[in-house]
Amino acid sequence: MRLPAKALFCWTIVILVFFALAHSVFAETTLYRGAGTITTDGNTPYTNLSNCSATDDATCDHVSAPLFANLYFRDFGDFGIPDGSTITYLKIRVTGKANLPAQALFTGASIIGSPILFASNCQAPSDLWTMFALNSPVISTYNVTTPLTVGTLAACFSLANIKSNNFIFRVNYSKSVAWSASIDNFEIAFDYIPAATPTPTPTPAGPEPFLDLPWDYEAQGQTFSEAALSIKSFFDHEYPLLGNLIEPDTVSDTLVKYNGTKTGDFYSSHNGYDYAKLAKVNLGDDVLSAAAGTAELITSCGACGNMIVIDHENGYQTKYMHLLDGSPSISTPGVKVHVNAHQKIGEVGFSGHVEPEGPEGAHIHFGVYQDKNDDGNMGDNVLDGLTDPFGWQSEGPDPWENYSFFYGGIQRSGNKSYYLWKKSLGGTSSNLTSSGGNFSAGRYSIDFPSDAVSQSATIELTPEPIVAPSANLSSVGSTLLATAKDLLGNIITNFPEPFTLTIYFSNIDLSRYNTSTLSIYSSQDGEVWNQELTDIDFINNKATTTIAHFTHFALMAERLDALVPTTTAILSGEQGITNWFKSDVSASLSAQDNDGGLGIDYTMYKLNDEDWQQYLNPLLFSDEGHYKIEFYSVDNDENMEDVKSVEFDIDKTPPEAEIKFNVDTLDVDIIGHDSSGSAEVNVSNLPRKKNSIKVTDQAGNTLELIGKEKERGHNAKVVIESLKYNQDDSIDIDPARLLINYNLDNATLDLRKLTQTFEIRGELKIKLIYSAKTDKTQVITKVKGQGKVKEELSGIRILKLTTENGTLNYSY
Amino acid sequence: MATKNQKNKLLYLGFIAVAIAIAFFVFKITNKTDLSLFNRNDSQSSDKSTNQIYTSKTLRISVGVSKEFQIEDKLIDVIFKKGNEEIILSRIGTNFTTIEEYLDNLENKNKTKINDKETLNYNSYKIISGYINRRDGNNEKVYFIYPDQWVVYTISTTYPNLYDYLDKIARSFRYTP
Repeated sequence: MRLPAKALFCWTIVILVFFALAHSVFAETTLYRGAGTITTDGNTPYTNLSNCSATDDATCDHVSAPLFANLYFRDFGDFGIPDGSTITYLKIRVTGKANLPAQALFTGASIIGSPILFASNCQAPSDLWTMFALNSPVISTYNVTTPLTVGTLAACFSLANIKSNNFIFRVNYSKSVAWSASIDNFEIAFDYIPAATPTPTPTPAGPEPFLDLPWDYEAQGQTFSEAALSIKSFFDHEYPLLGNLIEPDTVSDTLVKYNGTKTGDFYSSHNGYDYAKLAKVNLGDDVLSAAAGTAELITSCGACGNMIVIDHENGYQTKYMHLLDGSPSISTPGVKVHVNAHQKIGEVGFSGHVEPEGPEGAHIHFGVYQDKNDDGNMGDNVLDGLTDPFGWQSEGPDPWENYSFFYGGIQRSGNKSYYLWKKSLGGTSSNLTSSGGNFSAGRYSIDFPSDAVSQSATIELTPEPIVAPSANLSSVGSTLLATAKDLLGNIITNFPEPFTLTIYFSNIDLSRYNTSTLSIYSSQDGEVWNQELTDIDFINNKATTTIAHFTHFALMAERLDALVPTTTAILSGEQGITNWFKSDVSASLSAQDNDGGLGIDYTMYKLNDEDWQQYLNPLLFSDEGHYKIEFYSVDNDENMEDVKSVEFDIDKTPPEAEIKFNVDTLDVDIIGHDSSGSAEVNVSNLPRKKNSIKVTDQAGNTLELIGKEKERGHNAKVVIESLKYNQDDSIDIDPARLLINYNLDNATLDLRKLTQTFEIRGELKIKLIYSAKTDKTQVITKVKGQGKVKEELSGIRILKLTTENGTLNYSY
Repeated sequence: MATKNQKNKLLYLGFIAVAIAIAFFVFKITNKTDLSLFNRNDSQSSDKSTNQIYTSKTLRISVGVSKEFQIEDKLIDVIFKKGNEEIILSRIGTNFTTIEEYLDNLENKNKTKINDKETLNYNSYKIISGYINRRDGNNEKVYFIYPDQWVVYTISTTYPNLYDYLDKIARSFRYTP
């Protein structure tokens, strides 16, 4: 039997070595700490007890004992395990010897019970009598590691019990024989998994987060967290009044960040956040609106450079400074333009004061301000409305909220900062044990009963954006992603015991929702949502459901108004053909919400290439030209209509006319001319053998030529006596006469001779005689004081009479 | 003297023991992989000495720090606490191309002066150390590390007892972009 016993012993040692190696590599371990106190079970004799935890060679001895000999080790001090950590393993390291070569002493741990020191249901190792044997006759070191993550041990060796030293270890031998041992350096340590990093939490009871970062960080391959935390200059909670007041010397060399850390980082008194090259924000990159609102360009703040200010109409304003010259989407200071979220408002630049100077200093300065007194005027809160969009994420008081200063003749105080980013920097996490517990994030609260999990789990609650699974159904405020992981990192989706999820809605405006449809929904994928049985408490403004699975959660309700409004443009004026006007034009934009809708919030319009503006009153157009108005409306439930447009022209100028002989048709043509294009010509007979030649342009402007027209054979005569523009009085002119005479070749019917004569009051002004034989035109004009002047020109020349502002002129 | 039957039993038992040991070891390897799945921003690993390696994924750095310190990762800062005393490691972006220009600008902006400046080169990083007499009366020892373009790390403490620890942390600094 000796050989098998030795072999088994060797194999056992092999296994133990494996165990020891395995455990020592992977856990995060505290320092080994020795016991501060040694006690016994009252049996005698023990000696040198005070040296049992010493690090020298001194020993404590149990010389001999008849039965149930126990040495107790306790008071190990502070292991420095961070709050929230999960204890995973206990490690015992004992250096000593025993005089029982064929037997063994056993060690174990226990929570201190009263009056019994050793509580058997909390012993570790769980099988005390086989896990550890102190039986070497020479001084040796023994290591044992035992898990604490299952069963009652997880509760016994809780972090609270360890921190309060409410546990004890023993060396024990229960057989009825005498023994002795020398124990030196009885030490223990714990493996633990620290709590996930305390991450910024949206400040509860604050405004609904609404901001995103003002550049396209996702296009740069960055997450929100990576980009948001790549900061060049922080908001200084100690004193964020940069450039307006003199910073007190006592704080001028430090800044306090949103997490409460005070450092000497760059730079003190800064009133916003700078993002630059570390955040992959480079010169010329698009600067985007952090949320929708009404934007305005301000160029009067010297150090700010080109600055866009956006009023988000929720009591907050954002500012974007140092925009590249010429890049702001609004070109005129003072003009207010609606911008959507994530809309380009300019480009990253270096206008104003940047360091280093010039293009190398290009960055975005992003600042957030609150209309603290809610009077609709940001101007009176330009300093005390300063706020940090990261909120205040420290347990201590926010120095900026409590800062008092005198400005503008008024004693003022700083401002409370809320977490205003729509996206989370990482969510919150904490540990769930079999004892249950409460977990909350913002307006979400989850209560786990005991035994909801059989082993410790990490709970992570991450606020997520608003969802709208259908046209009618929408989340009431932000949503929640709840995840749980066991100690091995496996996702837990279902729990053996149901938990209670509560979503508060006291800060949510429910006027947009059908409150009878309020309910909690869950979704495995964030796409398909299932309604959960929900209790709605309108007195305490909370919704509660009891469920046993973790997913996405949302409080949802049907929207009262899910349809977009309709806007119609109405043009008023003296109209010609379609959308041509000869008068001033008034353009009215009439917006109508759907039946049962919440009404129109606002209407925006854009004229030609100008900026978008809010429509308030009818638009009046007087100048001639082409106009294009684009427009849309948004209702009170943020339903936005697609952009429509209407185009029209104003032409107040009457047309003119041209009269000439047409050699192709052998007829006299009367042609209308207008600056806007062609003009229609109508000829009608008037009484007393007169004719009216009326030229009408597209806008309806007219020129009327009154006179006579007669054609007989190869002769034609056109007499013009007066001109009349629109409704103006007629302009009488000296009777002007155009006489046409022509001959044709009898065989070919080609024009052989053409005579065109223009006379005023019977007096010759010009005569053009064309001969096909010579293919020349003889021009005879009568020049005052010179009589008739003749000139011969090659080819055929056509005499043209044209009206021009009430006169009749000729040319050829 | 063991019989043949006893030897066979012994081999059989030994074989089972080895199999169990290997299975357990494989389990622990798997366990290590699973642990890494935890959604933790930071990590610590023990070495055989009294130091631990601390890594911050957010700040993209790792440092060696004595196990005597408790570590608080605050995303934009890491605080190493020993009792009531602490060392702060923080990160800031910059558009300056040299550490000297950054510090000149910092001294100007924060109306401060860095005394006893010493230019160092640990792990090929450009480093300047010095002391700042804070207006609250503290004398802060500080390391400014410029490991790459556009980023400066600051490691500092106002506790003279921790100056040696501070030096060790600065020497162990690694940039892990």
